Amino acid sequence: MQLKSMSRPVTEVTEAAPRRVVLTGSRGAETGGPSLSEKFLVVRGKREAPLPRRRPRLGGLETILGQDDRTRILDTDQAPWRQICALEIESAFGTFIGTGWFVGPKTLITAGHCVFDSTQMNGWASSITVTPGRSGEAKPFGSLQASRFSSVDRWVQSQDPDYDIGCIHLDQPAPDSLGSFSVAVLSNADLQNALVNISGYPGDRGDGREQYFHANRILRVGPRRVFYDVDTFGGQSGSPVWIYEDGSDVPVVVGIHAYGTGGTPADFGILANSAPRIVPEVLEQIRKWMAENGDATA
Amino acid sequence: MTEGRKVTVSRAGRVLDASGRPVAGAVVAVVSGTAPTPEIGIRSGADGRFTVALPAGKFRLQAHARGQAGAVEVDGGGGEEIVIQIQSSP
Repeated sequence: MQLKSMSRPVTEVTEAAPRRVVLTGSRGAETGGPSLSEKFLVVRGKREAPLPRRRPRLGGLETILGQDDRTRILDTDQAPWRQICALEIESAFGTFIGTGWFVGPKTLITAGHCVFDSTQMNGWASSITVTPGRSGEAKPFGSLQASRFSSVDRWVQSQDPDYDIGCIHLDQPAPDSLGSFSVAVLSNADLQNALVNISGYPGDRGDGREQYFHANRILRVGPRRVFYDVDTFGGQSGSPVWIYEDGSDVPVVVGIHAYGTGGTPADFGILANSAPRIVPEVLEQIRKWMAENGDATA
Repeated sequence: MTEGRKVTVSRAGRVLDASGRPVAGAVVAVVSGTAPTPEIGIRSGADGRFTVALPAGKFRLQAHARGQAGAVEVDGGGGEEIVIQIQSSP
């Protein structure tokens, strides 16, 4: 009898995005300076060690990585929080909650599985209610109904987490005053250890109607995903994962939050949540969706 | 390369309160597991029922509604109905 050699799988990390390419957003209407939440909560730059926890770390294999350090955002009528939307998703298999964010007045980006899931939703979502900056029962910009959605072939055909990106097309534009996120393709070196911010609408706090924020660092960079120790929960799928570049107040999205710890390869040896990364072809697809909606793609 | 999503199977479930009555509008989510599952929130229907797509593996699900919460450990793939009983935190 012959033996067949088997080895521990090793996930290769290759440089997929050496170029820095940016899709420029807008902060929207000025409201007299940065929001207090933005001023005191967001993180910038890089860090090799994790940010200190406000409470003791307990450990555990959950999307809340140890003790829950998320903070509720109250000034959701200000940038960038108002550019983040609570999603109520209707499908053949019931109702779901998620998160989306504006790249243009008629274009929201979210996770692919918030618009299409062959098993969970039995296909495409039928309609999505989009509420920018929702804060409990307060809807400072009202709600918008959407029924046109897009994803990419690699998600729709094979549900590959690396390609879990989606788009919500609005028939009527959101107010210009909301503004929109910038989006950038950054190199592995730029992303490794970068401090990232995530804000969205989880189901465990506020019933998917309140916006919660947490920040920490990117632990690992894959060819198509970024992995970070930021606390999230179901309902935050589709949230923007953003950074601030040196000396800039412009939030720049580098990933689309989609997975908890189960989506992180075991051989990485880390406890992390993850997002499909903004790579050149993802940015190009976002530009195409914006052009389709008549949004400017500067 | 990263781990791809495995073949998933739709499983039925119900959210019940401490008295065994169905809970409408609860949010159910997979909070940990041995395979990738999306971080979407699933709302239970008027009869407390929901469906969740799970690949093979072991998973922990939580349900939350009106300040109450509950959790259950399940094996993925096909199987019997998942029941999550919620109650107020001590």
